[in-house]
Amino acid sequence: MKRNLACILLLTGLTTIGHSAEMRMWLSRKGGLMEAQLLNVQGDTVTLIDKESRETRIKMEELSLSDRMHLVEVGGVDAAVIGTGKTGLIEKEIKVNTSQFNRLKDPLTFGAKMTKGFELLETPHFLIGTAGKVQGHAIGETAERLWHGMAFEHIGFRQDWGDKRMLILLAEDRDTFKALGKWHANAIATLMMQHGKDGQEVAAEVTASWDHSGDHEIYLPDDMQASHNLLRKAMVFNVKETNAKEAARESATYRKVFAPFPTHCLADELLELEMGQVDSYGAEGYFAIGTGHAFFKEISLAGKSETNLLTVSGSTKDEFASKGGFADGTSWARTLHALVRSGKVTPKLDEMFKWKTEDLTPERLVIMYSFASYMESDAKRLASFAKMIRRIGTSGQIPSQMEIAKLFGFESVEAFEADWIKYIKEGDFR
Amino acid sequence: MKYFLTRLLACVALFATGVSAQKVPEKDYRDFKAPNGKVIKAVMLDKTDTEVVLLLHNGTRTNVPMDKLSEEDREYAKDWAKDKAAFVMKCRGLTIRQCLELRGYESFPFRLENNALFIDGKINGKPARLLIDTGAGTSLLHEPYAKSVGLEVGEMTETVLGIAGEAAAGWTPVPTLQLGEAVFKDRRILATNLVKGQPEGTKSSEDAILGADFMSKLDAVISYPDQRIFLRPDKSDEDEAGLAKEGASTDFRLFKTKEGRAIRGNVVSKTPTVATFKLINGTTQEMAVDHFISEDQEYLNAWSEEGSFFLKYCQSLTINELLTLRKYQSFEFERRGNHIFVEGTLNDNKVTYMIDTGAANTCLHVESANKFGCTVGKMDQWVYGIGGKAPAAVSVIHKLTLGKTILTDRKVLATDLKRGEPDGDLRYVGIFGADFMRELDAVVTYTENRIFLIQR
Repeated sequence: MKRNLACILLLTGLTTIGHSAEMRMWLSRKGGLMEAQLLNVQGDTVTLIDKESRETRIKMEELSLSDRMHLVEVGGVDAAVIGTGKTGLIEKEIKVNTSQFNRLKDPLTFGAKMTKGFELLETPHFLIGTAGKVQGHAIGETAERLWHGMAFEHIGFRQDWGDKRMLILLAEDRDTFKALGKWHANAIATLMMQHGKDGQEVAAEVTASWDHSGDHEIYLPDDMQASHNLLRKAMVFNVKETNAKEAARESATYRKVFAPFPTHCLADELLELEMGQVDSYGAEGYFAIGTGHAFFKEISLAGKSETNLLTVSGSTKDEFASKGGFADGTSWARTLHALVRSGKVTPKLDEMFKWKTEDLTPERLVIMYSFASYMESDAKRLASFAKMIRRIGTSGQIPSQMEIAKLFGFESVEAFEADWIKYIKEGDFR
Repeated sequence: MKYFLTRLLACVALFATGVSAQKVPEKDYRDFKAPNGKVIKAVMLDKTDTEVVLLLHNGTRTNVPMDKLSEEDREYAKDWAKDKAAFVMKCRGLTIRQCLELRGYESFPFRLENNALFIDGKINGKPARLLIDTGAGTSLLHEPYAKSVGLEVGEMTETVLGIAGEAAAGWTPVPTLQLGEAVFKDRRILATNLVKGQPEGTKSSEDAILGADFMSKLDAVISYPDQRIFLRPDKSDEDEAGLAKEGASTDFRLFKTKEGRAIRGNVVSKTPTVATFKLINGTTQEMAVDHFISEDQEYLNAWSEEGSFFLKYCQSLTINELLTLRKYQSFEFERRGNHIFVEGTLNDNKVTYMIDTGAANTCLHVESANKFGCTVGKMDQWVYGIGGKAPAAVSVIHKLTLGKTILTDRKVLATDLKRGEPDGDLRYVGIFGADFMRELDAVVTYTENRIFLIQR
């Protein structure tokens, strides 16, 4: 009798989807990817069934935000589930099988003047090119972990990415790096001219800053994209070693998973990809959102920030200035917390959205960091953040401040700002 | 004792193998009583004023006149609503893709590039990048591309009008235009320079624009949530799978082999390696599963008799019914020529919008933007399109609605949309573009003349 009663209870509250559900990829917070169809939802447990009719039960909160969105749409699950679930460092929790990273036989070269080229290491979503002694495994793993973090939080990320890989080049060999710089300056000049802009000016700027900056973005030619199934935009890390001390530091940076600087650059790049291009008239706030997010991921995953932003000015584009946060890269939150509590600093959305790199002070940069930290601090806010990024991706513009406030559930910008300030003062801002 | 055993087995099966969950769950069945007192275990699928459609426990479907039901059952049938019925609700898990592929549609994943939709096709046997553009009343070829694939572009005596002006065009005979299995033969399509007026060296991102003329002809369904466009090959001039010749209904699915052959049929049985099809011509054929392209292999691997049985009933739902189950709102659109229009509001004024997948961003007619209370800035921006570029102003829409869908505080560009038709009467206030359609997960169906939107 007891067994029968148990059976009835199990059936109560069961939402059976039936055989009509489609096979799709499901992602758990541990990084497990499973191709399966939704069988049913019972309470907080989802049952999936794979092609071999094997069932897997998983707690809804263990599923990615995008999977929970799917459950709301197709499974008839209450929309409140989107704002629930654990937050935290998904990127650190997931499992990445580095033994599946695969070395390719042929190097990749850019232009006839590049003699050595880049050795290639293939990961599920990236192609890592290395020139010199630097190794690609740690960057590959960092990139994969950040990729899964994005896929977990952002609804369309996996679909938008498709089956392509992103090229990440680690250029330690100086000749190869210089040759790549020349190739890129020519390519960007041609591209700019095709869009009616002064290609030579842009090329001069690229050339002047090439060796000063730690990372660059380049655009790959059509044939290279096709032959290696790559995204158009690629990243280049300038792995310098001008003296023994720096060499040791640089070497450590690229040997370690979640080293601060690469984590910052990769996090920024992946979010930019999800946001897509924005129109000039709707770009206000783009810098704050992207930069804040990059510093947030850098500090939360690496434990500190080692990244400075570079400004280029002067008629010949050879005057450089560096902008960073507070000197101690491990105590930004504490310092801002004190400044906000004492009333010396008051975060304002309107002001922050107008800042450019050249306007930055340590306080301003850390305010941008606090903005990202606030938006990604709990499941509900994270869902709102994902919605905002999705809106940017579809509209090609940053939503108005009022719309951002609404996305986070506030009736006014002032109410949104008050909650943000409260988070800095009293919340889990670290 | 028997009762306990039966329930216990059902319970074990449900949670151990998943097989029973693929059938209609037992709890969905109801005892219907015939006037002679005989009990029939069945699920109600549909009803009319005079009869009900029942799915019997043995899997067969039957129509029963209302007057053959007991009074209690007639009351039940009277209160029964399709959109609330448990079995029908399970169909909400069906995707648009499954729904349409089962009806013989061919689906194409599209690429989104800056909100524009691209699919691959062939023109004169050569690969072509095609832009899907519901705002283009007629399809267009990019003139340099047309010449590069061996087409003879006629004299440039025609004029095509675009958002930014006009461009000369010439009628071009096109021996074949192929979209998957759909083939159009011996068409005449206008060719123009699609990058006219843009900086020298600008490459066209498309080889041709697939306009509303082809979409309408092929009963297209454009689904942003699926990122797919669905077309009916049997509506083209030639259909290799044979449907056009046979003239049969679309109750058959299209399967493609790795060698590029297409067959239209339904799976009737399957082993792990071999599927048996009932083909559209009535014959039966066995084929190895690994003989098919990967998407069809996935379908075949997942196929089961029970699942097929379930889908057969879900399949009868229209896109409208399916998306209504998913809480989408829909609007019947008005066709004027090949263009499609919907009613809505702009800052609380009743207006009409043109639906345009080819417009990356929503754009208002500047006169209407001013008239209907938008905050219109200076004409210091540019919009690009056929004919080059035209001045535009950043404008803020305070509130835009389509049904219950409300968009507030949005920046769009406003330009002179009458530029293309200086003497015409512009009967709409602007173009509802891909930005809003992506945000609202739009589905556009030419078959049902509807656009579906959902606000998440």
